[in-house]
Amino acid sequence: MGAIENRVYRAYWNDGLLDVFAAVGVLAIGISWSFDFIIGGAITPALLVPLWGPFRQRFIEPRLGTVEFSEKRERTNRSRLLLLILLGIGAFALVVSLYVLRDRLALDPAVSLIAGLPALLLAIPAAFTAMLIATGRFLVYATLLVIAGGVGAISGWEPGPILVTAGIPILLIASTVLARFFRNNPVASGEQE
Amino acid sequence: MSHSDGIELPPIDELLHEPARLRLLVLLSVVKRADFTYLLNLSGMSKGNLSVQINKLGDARMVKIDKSFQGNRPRTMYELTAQGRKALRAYKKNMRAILAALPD
Repeated sequence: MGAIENRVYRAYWNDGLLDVFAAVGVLAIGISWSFDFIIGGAITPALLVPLWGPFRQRFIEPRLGTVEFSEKRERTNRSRLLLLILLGIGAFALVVSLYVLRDRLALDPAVSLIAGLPALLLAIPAAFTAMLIATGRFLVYATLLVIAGGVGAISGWEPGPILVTAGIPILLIASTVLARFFRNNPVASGEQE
Repeated sequence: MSHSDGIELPPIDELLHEPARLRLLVLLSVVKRADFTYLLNLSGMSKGNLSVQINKLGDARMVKIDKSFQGNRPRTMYELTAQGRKALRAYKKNMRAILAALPD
């Protein structure tokens, strides 16, 4: 796909809504795990994913407009999205397993670092999303998750607070992007034809 | 000097040889279809100019215009037609030939 198509596609994702959803997801999982509400990690994505479309239609499309990309782009996206979903499910299953088994696994002192794994594993879909939507911001989020996971695990934190620590700066960046989009793109007052 | 002695250059489609219309055709050539607001944001054109230029392309059947309502808001989708794609390809080919003939 050409350079112009890539720029048009990247512009489609520059509103920050997906960023806010990702940040809310990381924070919600972190908060629910902080209160030992493990199932919250499963409920959060299940609630957020179906909400994204209606939110985009309600808040973004009146400002940015609507576009349908080429068949080639749609095909590429579908296969990448499938891979992302599988990665996400795999990472989540691994995280939950490690979290549930953490006491048994903690027999080995080295596995105390396991507390950082949820953040590290969530960094994988974040990095993959960066590739999927061609924006570097998600690489920043992946880096924040990796840093929080590493530093938090070394400091002996639990997975929940580590995710909250990573989620706060992600939410700040995401909110800034979304606020800038709203400021620069007022709702179109109608078509002049 | 008679007209037949003039230098022959590849024909340039004057409808396309206008920056705003060319920009719109290029944008539409890389997507399946887009609405007025999206083109407005991506082209950086004013509403009035976009409306005039896109309608000229529509009149020339280079762009298909599909008007509908989304809720109670009017929405117009634009799509490059086969004729528009062909014209854009010919324009690229002819411009390339002319530019290639220019000395450095």
